[in-house]
Amino acid sequence: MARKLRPDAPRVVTANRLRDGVVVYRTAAGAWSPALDDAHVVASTEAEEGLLRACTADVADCLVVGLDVIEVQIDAHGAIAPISQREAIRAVGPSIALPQDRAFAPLAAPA
Amino acid sequence: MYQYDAHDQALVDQRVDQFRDQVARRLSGDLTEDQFKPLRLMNGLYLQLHAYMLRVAVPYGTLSGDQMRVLAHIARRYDRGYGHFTTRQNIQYNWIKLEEAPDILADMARVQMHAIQTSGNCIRNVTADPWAGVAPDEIEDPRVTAEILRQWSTLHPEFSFLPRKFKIAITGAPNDRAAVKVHDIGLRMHRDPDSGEAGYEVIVGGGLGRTPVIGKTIRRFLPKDHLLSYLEAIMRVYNAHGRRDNIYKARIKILVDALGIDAFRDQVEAEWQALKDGPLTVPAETYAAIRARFALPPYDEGLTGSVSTLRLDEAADPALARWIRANVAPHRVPGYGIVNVSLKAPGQIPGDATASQMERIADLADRYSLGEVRVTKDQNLVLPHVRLDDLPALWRALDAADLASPNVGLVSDIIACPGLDYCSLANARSIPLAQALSERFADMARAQDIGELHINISGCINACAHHHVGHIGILGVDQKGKELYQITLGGRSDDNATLGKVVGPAVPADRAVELIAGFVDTYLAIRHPGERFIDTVARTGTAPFKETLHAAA
Ligand code: SF4
Repeated sequence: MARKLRPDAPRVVTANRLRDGVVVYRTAAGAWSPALDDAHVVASTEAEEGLLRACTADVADCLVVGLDVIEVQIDAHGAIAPISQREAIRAVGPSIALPQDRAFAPLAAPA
Repeated sequence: MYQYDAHDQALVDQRVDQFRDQVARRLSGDLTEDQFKPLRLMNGLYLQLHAYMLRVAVPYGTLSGDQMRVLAHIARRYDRGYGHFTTRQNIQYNWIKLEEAPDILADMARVQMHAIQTSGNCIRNVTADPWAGVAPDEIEDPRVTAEILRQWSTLHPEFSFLPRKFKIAITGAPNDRAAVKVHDIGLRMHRDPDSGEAGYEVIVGGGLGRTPVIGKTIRRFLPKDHLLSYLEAIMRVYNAHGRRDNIYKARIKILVDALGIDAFRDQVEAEWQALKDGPLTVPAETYAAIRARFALPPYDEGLTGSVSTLRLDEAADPALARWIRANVAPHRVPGYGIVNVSLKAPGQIPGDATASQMERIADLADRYSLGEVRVTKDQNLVLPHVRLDDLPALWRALDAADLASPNVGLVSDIIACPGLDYCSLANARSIPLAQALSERFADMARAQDIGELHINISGCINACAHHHVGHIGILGVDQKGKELYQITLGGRSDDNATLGKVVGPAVPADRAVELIAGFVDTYLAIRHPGERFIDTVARTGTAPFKETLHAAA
């Protein structure tokens, strides 16, 4: 669950979608989006509590699991980025190129 | 290959049905996450940074070609086309959907595989020497014992809720390739000097993680028939007195340390008196019956020679010669070799294999290795029964699938956990540093000149990559939001198991690469003839390497 954040820090609510585990963020419309830029950013403890309260029904309804509040920063273009490296990796995926499955030529017949 | 009997199969099939029902109830809301989480963990399903992660047991690291093909199928059908072989001889899939997990377990059950006891506070998958049954120095194949332990510990009601997870490793050879001294229980086979009978040295209370400890010998020689009663006695003492109040003090190593090995032994002996010669006695016929279930197709007769006497034509094919020197080990049967398959090509993610690579290994196992594959604690694979005259053809086929890096046991054969790229417990990334180091040491001729050198990188103190016992160990730490790496030197997990010593403060990744390159240069400058890196560190201590540290600063 949420760690203590600075009282006025911008923050968003994140979770994993229950059925497939995909990382999602709570939007202003009350939906869940895999894109962090869709997240509803709040910047006070009260607003965070309100947002979390609104999410609890989706936990009970088995839409999401592992609700958490994370601190973010917003750049001049409005793009949202997590403060912690952990959440940055969670938002965009592993920092490494994933192995690409490529087919090989069939094995030659034994000599 | 061990073949399930009807009881084994029924148990695994039932588990699939139960889990299918549990997942359905979770998705429909009949189970809360708090109720469901222990159930999914009992089936190896974790929730990691990006998705669910499924850990599949590879008992004692042995797979058939058909099983490997199913692992490939799971990677392709349910994941993103690859899997990750771990230091506990398991495989993990990183991108699993909860709703598909029951189908995956069902596919695995068809080839006698499962994910039972790959998580939770139970006895985990028993690990073994990856050269079991084929190593020339072996007394007996330890997988027979490992299978007996698997049957004893699977769903054992008394040991399903231990104070903490419990790991057992076993080797049948005097040269320890299973790291038995850093497990909760380590078993090492010996012969009784008087009778010549094979039995076990029992080592207890080893482990890495937050409090690394080298295990202590609790019994020098245990006859085989007493194996289960004695281990049950150990488990009972642990179960009764292990610290359930503090997760950081709950492993058996803390109990053994608190009581002292002699007092712990006394308690085990007292418990054992009530169990000894009872129903847990394992008669010789049981060993024989289980050994029979491992039966392989016969080796070709009349072959001669060993890889150590093989004449390598360096001039005609230097790459093949280099691969044979680094990756092929002597086999107990004349005319055969043990082929170690590196999953550590320069820049590759340690332990990862694509579905096509897994299928290629399966096909090559069927063609060249009596249908058998092994997974090693160093995150590589083994084709354990290869005719020496098949080596050139096998090498070419492996090479075509990027599986012929000639670096097993060398500096670029880096052992690394998933770290912060996948793991929700991580402090720092492991994989990018492993990639940078393996690229730095990509020159295979130089790597062979450097010789045996194990680098182990863990992304947090849980030490899944065994960094404490790496010749060079690296621990990722998070210092005020900065990803740094603490380096240790001189660790080892063999017969002379030792914990590495910290050298210098934690450093950023690029500096870690430079320091390690400097340590290797220091070693090359000061080594005595025939000395491996670890021998030099043992002789000189860390002082000359610390000079490197200052010189390079
Ligand atoms: S060592 Fe830590 S970061 Fe690495 S896999 Fe284990 S728990 Fe995760």
